[in-house]
Amino acid sequence: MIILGNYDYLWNVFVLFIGAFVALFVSLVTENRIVLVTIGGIFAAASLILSLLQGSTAVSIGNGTILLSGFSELFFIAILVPGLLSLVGIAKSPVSKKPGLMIFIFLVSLGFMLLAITTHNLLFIFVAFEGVSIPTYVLAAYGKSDSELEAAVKYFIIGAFSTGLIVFGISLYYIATGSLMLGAAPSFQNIYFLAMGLLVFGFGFKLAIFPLHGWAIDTYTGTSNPISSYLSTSSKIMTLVVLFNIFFNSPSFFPYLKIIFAIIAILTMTFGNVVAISQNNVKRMLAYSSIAQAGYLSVVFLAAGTGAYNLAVISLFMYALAYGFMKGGSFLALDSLGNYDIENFSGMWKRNPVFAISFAILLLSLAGFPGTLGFIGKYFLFLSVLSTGTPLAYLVVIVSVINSVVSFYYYGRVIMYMFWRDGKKERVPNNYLLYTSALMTVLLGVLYFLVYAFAQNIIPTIAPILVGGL
Amino acid sequence: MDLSTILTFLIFGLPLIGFPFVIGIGYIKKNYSMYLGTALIFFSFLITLYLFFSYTVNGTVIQYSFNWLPSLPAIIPLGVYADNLSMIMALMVSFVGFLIILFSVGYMKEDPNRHVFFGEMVLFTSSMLGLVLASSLLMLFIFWELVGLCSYLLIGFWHYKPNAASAAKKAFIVTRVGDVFFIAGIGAAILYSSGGALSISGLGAIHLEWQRTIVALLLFGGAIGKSAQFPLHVWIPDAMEGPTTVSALIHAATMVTAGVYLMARVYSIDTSLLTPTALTVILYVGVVTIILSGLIGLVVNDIKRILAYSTIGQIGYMVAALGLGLGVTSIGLSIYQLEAHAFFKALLFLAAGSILHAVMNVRDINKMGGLWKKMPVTVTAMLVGALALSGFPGFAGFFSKDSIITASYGVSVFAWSLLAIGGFLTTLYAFRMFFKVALGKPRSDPAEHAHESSWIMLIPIVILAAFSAIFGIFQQGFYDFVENKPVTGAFGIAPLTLTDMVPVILMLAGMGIAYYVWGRNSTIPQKVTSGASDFYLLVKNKFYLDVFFTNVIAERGVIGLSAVSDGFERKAIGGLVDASGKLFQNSGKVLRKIQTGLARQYALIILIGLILALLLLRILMLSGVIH
Repeated sequence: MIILGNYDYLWNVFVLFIGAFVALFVSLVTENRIVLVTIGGIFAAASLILSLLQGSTAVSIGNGTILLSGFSELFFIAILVPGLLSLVGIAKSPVSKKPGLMIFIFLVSLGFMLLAITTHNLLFIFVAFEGVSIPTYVLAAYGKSDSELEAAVKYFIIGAFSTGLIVFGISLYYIATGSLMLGAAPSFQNIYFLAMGLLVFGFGFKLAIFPLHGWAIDTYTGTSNPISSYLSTSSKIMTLVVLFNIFFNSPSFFPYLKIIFAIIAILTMTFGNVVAISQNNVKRMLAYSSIAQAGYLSVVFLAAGTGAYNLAVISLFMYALAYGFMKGGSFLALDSLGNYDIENFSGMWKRNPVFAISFAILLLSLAGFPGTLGFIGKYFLFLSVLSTGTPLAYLVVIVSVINSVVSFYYYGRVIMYMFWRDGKKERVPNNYLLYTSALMTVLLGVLYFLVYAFAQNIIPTIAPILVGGL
Repeated sequence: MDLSTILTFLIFGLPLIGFPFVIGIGYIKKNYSMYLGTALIFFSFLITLYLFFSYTVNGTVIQYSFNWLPSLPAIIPLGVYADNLSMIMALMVSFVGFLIILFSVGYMKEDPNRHVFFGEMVLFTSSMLGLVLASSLLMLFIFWELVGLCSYLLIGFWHYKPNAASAAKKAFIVTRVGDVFFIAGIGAAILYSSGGALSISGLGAIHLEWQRTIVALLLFGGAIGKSAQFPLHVWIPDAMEGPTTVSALIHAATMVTAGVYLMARVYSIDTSLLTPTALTVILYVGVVTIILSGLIGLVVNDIKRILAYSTIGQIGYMVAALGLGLGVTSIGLSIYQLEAHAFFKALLFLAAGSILHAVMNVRDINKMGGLWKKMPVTVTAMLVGALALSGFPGFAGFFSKDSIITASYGVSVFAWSLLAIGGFLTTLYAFRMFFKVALGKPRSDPAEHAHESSWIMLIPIVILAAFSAIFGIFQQGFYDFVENKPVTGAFGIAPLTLTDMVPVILMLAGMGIAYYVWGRNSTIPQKVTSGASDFYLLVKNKFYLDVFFTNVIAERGVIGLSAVSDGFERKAIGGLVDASGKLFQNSGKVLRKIQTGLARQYALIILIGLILALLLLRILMLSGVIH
């Protein structure tokens, strides 16, 4: 029996749905892209503000089906910020003639993302997750060019396949525990572990970790830039948090979880980095680099069941925020260029110095250069994992650091082309989303202790609810 | 955090945040950065003044620290610590800094890169203020390095002059040698105090005598580099290639005093931190520096280099005062000399700058002469500076320097006699310079056509001259303030004793000799140089220290060592890096092939991955490796 109460706390989700319909109805009157994006942006921003104001009190809605806490507040922010960036990016991107519908779909999926990370009921998670998936299939196909359709179809096929795995996993979970709530104690260990393994693979596909990465390269490369940005940031962070919710509530699975994710993380980051080296198409390089970043992000699972939990959550938040800015910003920056070949970046320093500097900042942040938020996020993430002190953690962190060094090679290559190669002459238009992202990356990187203090203020409330098993 | 803490942060925070804007606004209009920079330092000065007066009224030490890098297990405090010592230093730095930046407005007004210059000056002043207000050794070190960086940038400001570029490098490298000692000292202090010395006030947690000696000597090694004491003084004379205002700022008021401040800071925490061994080393390093620099100052002809050597010598007095080991009295003596020196040396440098401005940057004093008539205000101010420097009764140097000499009589008569001789040498070179500049006939064409500088350059000179003349009346109040005694009144002069007469007599004799030898046409200098030619050559070549550093240590030692490690780097490490790069590139080409673009293949890969993962799970469960 599900009793809805306290739904006032979910207004940050509701405004997104309301905004979606407002955009849809306004599009009956005008299809002006600027107007519609402004409407979408206002509602997304309102949702962000509401999330920020939510406060750190823990609220349970519907018998614990939905749990709001400082934890969910942190990741609302980490999802909404890149979501907002991508949404505004639609205004510039030459996507479609019907932006009204696009904004509608976009806001609906964003709303479901927020729901997905708050629910602690697998069925709810499944519904919310599909509520994200289906709109994003449409978004990926929206431009109707061949490459976009191909990207969307691949995304859809793999998505459907994963949905099968998820459903299978959930049903096994129910068999093993007799409940759909997260954190239920299993009666049948073997089935429980099988269910968990299926859930890793089912949900993990959106995170694009190693064996599930195939679609991601083609989809990120194929779709329009705002959607690439959206899929590789908000959607990925949402998936990570969903996985986090599921697995951090299953204490008996922790030892296996760590081994599986250690292997996955190492394979994912090594694969992403190694293949990114030989890419000449910058967008494709960014797609591979977001695979590698997923590897770094999934390192966080090694902190499961240890005292490093709080630090892990804070650092995951910081890295997710950094990731949103740097990945979102760099995909959106590509909108200023017609062709993503690395040759097309040559001479950027002369063509538009601000663009060159901002893009270089984002690349350096992706590589983890000190002084940027990317470095801070990575540093804290690795630190939290290291503080668990297990040999496995050391191994994974060492591999991660080596991988970060390798990644300098391909990020540095783009920077080299931008600053030291002469080539193209025509000017590149300004891209304010890129500038904002670069500025925030540096600003928050320098003032990281403010972010840290912000997260730390919110966090005490999460521990008792989420980690009952610890 | 209360208001006074925030204000203390603002003293150095305001110019620190402001300096990029100073440079940035220069791209709109160059002159804006001059105004903005001056305003920033002026605000810092006002805040410092306010805090200084509120401190004299309620006497509470402002102390605030927050934890830097909260993720680390150790607590690394960063913050501010403003007691009487820091206050008086901050007041001096911001005041002299303000006057000098005001002078620069006139002095640099035609330089095409002046916006960068003002930006660097603001950054420099803010780092120096941060240095004196830092609450932990680590923070002190950060600002210490920032100060070093700025001095490098400022000395090399006219980087198109090869001399300036190499002087900047020399200053940077030589001070770096000291910094190695400094950071080793910080490490040793933290180690021996088991972490207590991370904040300055925890230095007293070092208990054993030998540990204190090691820490004190290592920190003093840092101070030697920064404060240009023997044998690391060699960078200052070359650093004169920078703009004159830079010389005034770096070499009078601020950077060179950082080392003295560091030692005074350590000494003020716990007077037993400087053990007798360390004190003896400190005292005699100071004394040797005074004598050497005094001798060299007599044979140099470049007006700015004379002042540079004089700076080295005067800092020698500050160091020697600390080395006397008289507890808080030593700190009072040293810091009073520091402040007095800041005023009269800034005055001398600015006067020299004004003269150089008038004579087209001809720096040889043999080519000047007769300038008193052409630029009466500047040269009179220079006379005041020279009188203060040599310690003419009534002027600042008399109260500061002669008090040190007098105090040393009770510690060691040997040191006293050397310090007194140092005072004599000071007088000789000061008045040699003055007489050659002011009297006689112009000895070159530019000196013939010299004229007085503009009023904006004269204002700071006059203010500084006034301070140099009257600074003595603050003596007693100053000592009381620094020694943390109840201040009976701001004005007052410490009573003089009979031994005070010796330096005064020496000083007057020095003035007389200087006039006799250099103040009129005479052949005595040539006779002396040819008479004692060996000694003259030794001094003229700066005791062969530069040659020793360059030829023996740098070329034979460091360059040889670096050639060896360079070979290792290229062959062994470089080869390894290349090999791994190639490995990754090749494997990238292989791995790329599994990205076929076929969706069904992706699904297959997922399925294989899933099966492998489940198999792994099963194996782990069965083998029971983990529980």
